[in-house]
Amino acid sequence: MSSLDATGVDPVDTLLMCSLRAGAALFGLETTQIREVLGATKIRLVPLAPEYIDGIMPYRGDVLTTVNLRVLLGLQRCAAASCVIVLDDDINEERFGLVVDGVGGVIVMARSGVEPNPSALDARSLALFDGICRTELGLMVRLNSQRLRPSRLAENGLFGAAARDRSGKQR
Amino acid sequence: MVTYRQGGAEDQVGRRDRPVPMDFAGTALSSQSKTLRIDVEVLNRMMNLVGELVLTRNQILQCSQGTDNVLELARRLSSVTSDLRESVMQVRMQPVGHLFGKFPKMVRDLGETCGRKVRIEFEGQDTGLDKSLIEAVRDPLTHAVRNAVDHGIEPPEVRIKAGKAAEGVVRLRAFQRSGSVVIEVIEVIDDGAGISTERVMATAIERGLVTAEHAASMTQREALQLIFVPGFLTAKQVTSVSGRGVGMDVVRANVQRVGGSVEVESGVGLGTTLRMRVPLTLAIVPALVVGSGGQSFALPQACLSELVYVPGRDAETAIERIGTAELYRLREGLLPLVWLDRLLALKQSESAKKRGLYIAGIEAGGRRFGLVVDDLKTPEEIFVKPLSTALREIGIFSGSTLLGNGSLALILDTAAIGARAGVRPVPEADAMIGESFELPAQASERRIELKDSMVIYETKSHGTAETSHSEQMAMPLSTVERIELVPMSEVEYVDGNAVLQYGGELLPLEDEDGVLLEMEAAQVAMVTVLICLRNEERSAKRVGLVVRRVLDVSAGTPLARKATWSEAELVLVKGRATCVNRKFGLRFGEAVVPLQEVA
Repeated sequence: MSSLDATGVDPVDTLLMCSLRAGAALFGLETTQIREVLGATKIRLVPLAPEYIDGIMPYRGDVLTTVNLRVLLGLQRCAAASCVIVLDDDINEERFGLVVDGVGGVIVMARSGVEPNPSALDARSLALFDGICRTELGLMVRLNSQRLRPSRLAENGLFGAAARDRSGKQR
Repeated sequence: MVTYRQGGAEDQVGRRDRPVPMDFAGTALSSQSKTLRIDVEVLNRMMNLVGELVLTRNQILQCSQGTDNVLELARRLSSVTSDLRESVMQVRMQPVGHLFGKFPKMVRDLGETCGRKVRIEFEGQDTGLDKSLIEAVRDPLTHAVRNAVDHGIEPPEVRIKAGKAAEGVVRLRAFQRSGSVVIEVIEVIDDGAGISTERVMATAIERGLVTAEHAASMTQREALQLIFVPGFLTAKQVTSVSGRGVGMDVVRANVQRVGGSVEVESGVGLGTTLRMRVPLTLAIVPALVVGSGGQSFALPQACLSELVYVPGRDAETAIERIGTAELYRLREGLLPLVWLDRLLALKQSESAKKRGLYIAGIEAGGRRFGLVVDDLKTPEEIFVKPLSTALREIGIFSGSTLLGNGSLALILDTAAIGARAGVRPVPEADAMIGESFELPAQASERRIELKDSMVIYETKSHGTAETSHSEQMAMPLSTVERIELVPMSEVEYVDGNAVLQYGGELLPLEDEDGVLLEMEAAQVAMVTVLICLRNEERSAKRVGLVVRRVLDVSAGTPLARKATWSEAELVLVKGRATCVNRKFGLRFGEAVVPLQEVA
């Protein structure tokens, strides 16, 4: 934070966003929510699980459930090596993994630069996204660990129902 | 009423926000808190062990270039780990007395409300139980004690008329019983009116829980178990204490959730005993790893009654179909089959099907069925890791675990699988629990047909290598806990006696027929050991019996005993006379059968 102070940016008003990719779009996650970024990890399938859940993986003595961002966005699962981000949701004390295509650098931006979700988005995107912001790399969608945690995804039913319809075709 | 002086001001505060005032400050704390009080000794030992662990790790790191003493290091690591695990388990163990603390006051208060004179007695407060299990049995136990006071103990005038002391006694007894798994038994015993089976049956019929014909065919014991059926209620009137519909079914469900069981025994006019059995700990579970559709799953051994292998060529004929149901004829009964790969929508492996079927006989949640899997892998002691809610909602997995080879396996919830596959629960009387409480005279006959199976093994051979003929012996299956194939190198000698390190304990090996010597001479790498339970006074000890090889598991017909073989008991197994090894105690219909106990 001290280096930021030197550049004259107010630390209270800045966001450190870790950029990541899934499909063509650029996403960002606040670094405070990220516990660790793992490379390609072997994930064990869980039969009968909702489609958006990739499976489970061991992580420091715990077993984490992993959510696949591509599937949440309605894209095909990516066969190529993907990256797992371990996320913490402090409010609900839930820890889980997020499978993405790749992780980029950390982008520093002003908190005020994040705009609310455009109302034109469909219901699933509205439930997932936590605002949009403009960066040098183009438009970035802010994600929030709280919205991505598996139990919430299961609760709101937007993803669960669709998953079950598709599960037969994809697996 | 007794007043509490020790509590003072603190007690007053406590009363304001707690509906049920606690007796001792200690129990009030332990009832909700997430903290533990630990013996410093235990903590020191753990610290030591962790030091050992670090040391061993360092050595492993250093010796990763050379392979000379890896084996020794692995052995050391294994012993440190098992010691450490034991100490951690010990930390989790809390005296059951913590649970009993609040009952004296509760019973007195209740007695006053219901107009009963009741005294409460304790036994075995010091026996340890896992912290999480203490929490799990708290509510069922409270319910049982309330029941004992309200329904069990009669009003003083009735008691005097019946020739009993005016003051009733409710006794809480906790003790541990070891079978192949050590379990904790908590009994709530009252000397009250007892449960009238006639009334139980009448109520059950009235509430439509059973039909009149069915009720008529029930035994006393079966009728008694009806109190556990949801919706059952005998209380004549609803009071503030009981008769509110939250009944014994909830008690049973709660105890079963942690892998325990509940039974009730009662004599009219004599009193009632409610017996809860729970495992000592939940964290580590002996399990069998099975394969299905290319994935590994862990099957808790507690619900596993037997394993059957059907060779590929017999598979078609061995399975019988009635409508959509598939059944396997197992001895005298038909076992409904559930295919794990179909149930979980896994890809079905044809090559595995050709090789044969493995059927795991499951008894869980009052259901009995055979779970068909592709492969049986190793038995392992697994450390249960909880699953996230999203995955728990699938309802078929009770957790996950890391296997010895580093891969993850899901733990199957067998009761849920049975329910999902549509297997009907079998009537309580035939289910796993309870047999131990029939009168021995009645039980013995049934037991012979049920549990007369024996492990047939080969023992000493006579004559030279070419003309040798071996003798076969039988060991009652109930005594044999496991059949292990042990590398000869693991057999160690202490004072000239063979011993084996087995699951963290030192197992004496019995080798009367000199099998070990013979095997050593023949340079055989592996030796078969029957892990048997030797029943002593109250506890059972494990003993390994070295045998040449295991031939079969089957039932035998007892032969008339000849006076000349004074000691030997002979049975006819598939046309061959076989001598029964009764060294480890247990005759038919006697004592409790450990294999059964697991279920």
